[in-house]
Amino acid sequence: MRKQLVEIITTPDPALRNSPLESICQLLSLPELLAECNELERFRRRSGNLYERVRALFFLYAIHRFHLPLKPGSAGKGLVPFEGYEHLLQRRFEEAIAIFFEAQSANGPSDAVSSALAAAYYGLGFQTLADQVRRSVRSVRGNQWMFRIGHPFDQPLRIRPELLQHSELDGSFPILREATPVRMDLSHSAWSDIFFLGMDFPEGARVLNISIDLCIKGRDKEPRPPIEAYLRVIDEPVLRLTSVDLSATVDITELPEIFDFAKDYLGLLKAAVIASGIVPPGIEGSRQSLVALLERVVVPGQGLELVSNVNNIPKGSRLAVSTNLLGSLIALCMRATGQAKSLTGPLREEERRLVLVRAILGEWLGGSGGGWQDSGGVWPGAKLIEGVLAEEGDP
Amino acid sequence: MKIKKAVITAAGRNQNRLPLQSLVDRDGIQKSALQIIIEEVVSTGADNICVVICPGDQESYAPAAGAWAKQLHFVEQPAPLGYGHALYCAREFVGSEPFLHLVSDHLYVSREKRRCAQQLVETAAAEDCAVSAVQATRESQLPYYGTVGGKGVPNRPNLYLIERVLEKPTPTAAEQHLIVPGLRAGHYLCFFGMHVLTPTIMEVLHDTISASGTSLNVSLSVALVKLAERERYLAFQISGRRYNIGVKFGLLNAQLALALEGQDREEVLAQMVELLAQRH
Repeated sequence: MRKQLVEIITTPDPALRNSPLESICQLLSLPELLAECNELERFRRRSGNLYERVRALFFLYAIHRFHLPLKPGSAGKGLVPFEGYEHLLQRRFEEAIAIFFEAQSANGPSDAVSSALAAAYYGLGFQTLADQVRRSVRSVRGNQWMFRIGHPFDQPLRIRPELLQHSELDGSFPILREATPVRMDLSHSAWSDIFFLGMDFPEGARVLNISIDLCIKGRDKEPRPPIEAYLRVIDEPVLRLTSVDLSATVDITELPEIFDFAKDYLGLLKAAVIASGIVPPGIEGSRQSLVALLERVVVPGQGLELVSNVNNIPKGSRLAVSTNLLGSLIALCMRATGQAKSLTGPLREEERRLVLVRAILGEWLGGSGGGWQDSGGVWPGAKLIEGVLAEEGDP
Repeated sequence: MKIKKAVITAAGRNQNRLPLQSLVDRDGIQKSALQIIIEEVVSTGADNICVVICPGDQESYAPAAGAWAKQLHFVEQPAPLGYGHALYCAREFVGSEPFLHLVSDHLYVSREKRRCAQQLVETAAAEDCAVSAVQATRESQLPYYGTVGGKGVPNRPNLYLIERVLEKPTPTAAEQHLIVPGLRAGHYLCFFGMHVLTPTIMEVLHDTISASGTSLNVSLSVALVKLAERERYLAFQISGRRYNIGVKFGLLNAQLALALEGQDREEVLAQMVELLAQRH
């Protein structure tokens, strides 16, 4: 039989490659569409190409979510195997898909199983992209070391000595402050992250983007960066994370807590601590002690306090607050540990680029998974951000 | 190139007591760390030695040097203006000659018959240029050492042409600028605390100090980068180990390394085994 959907993915002909999925699915009967799904499933398993695998996964997601349930012959009701559901919750998508497939083969297609398969394919698509991000970020020079560190004794970062000089007046340590603008997209190819858009439509992977400070007319004297982050040494061997605008704070004493992003509202601060190398990503699951790590980075008996504050921006503002906050926090942590040369003033170009890469890592660690064009706030002024085609040897 | 002079810097305000610490050398004799360092220097034939010290330290350093005291020329660094400035204080002593430079908080154990300083001086003489001794070092130790980046000299397995020097770099900077082909992942060429330098370094330091005005920290690393721009400057991977006695357990490590290389090896091993047995 023809493998129409696989052909859409693999063809060098742009006219065919850009065919809408709907145009094919509408013309196929239920058995034909199921056969196409089987072909796509085989294809995505054997393909070594990231674009092909991801597109096949999102085709499968869309077919199961939007097309199969509408075909005559598909049962409305059905049972989702509990074992597969458990795998889905544990993000073991391949295992879940295998079980749902088995159920579909045994009992025939149904809305329920298609819905479960759609969820699993969707999750696996994003997981595939996240793995690729991790691989790409990991291969950037300046980041590789963070993935090698598996023990506190191996930690080469040290807090800058200026931050350890406490005040003779009240014993407090100096506070390092970072202020970052947000970004606004003036023109955009579509409301989609460049990473995904660029895979299908490379020439469209461009955005005109400006950094903006904010103020309320009549109230404030002048606009100022709406994102603020603060860091200081504290006299307790803990990692204290605080979000002023979310009214959330936590004292972390164990390493696994830092890697638990869903536990509280402080996932971005945790991601920043990891992506800046203070708690290197390679130490996850090592069963080592956070106190020993802080001893190495700061000094015995002392810890770090990291505070974020977003001033008066409502949720869903489309100003990329989360990515720029992450960038701000990462820049702050890099300054505090000497990874950025200066404690004050603008970052150098190579430092900004590292902040960008690490902010993307942080986004994917924290689970939001966006941010490819969003770190524009880290660069002042207006800029055109463009994707470039991958070259031989790129990760 | 003939090396007849040596400069030992010992003016670090927090570390000026380290050379006065007592250790038992390979030959089983108790000596100060300063004496052991001087013996390393003298083994190269450079017996005209200058020690840069903090003001007022000569009184304690002269006795610690033992029989070598009469040969030493002490120069004081009047204010703590950095490592580069300390070396610059020896400019009149150095004059227009190349010289061997050692720090005072490192001790050495060679893996061959020639001592580490001998290996370095012979290499510098053969190459007729400035050479810094280096050791491939794990990235976890980067906060303690100056680190160089560069490329291998063709057909000379342990020699590298230095292109960049960073003082105590972060792992991020090291990975971006200091990776040397041929080293294991996460390893960098870090200073060994031992250099053969040409008088050009004093000119570079003079320019740096004149330009920096009242700067509190004149870095030797920055001056070494400029030296590399002006003339051929190599790194030599020594066959030996350095022991930094200024870090936690550094003195203990150095003592154990010296003892295990010397005539008291069996006795020290027996004592270590006894300690371990008592512990468990």
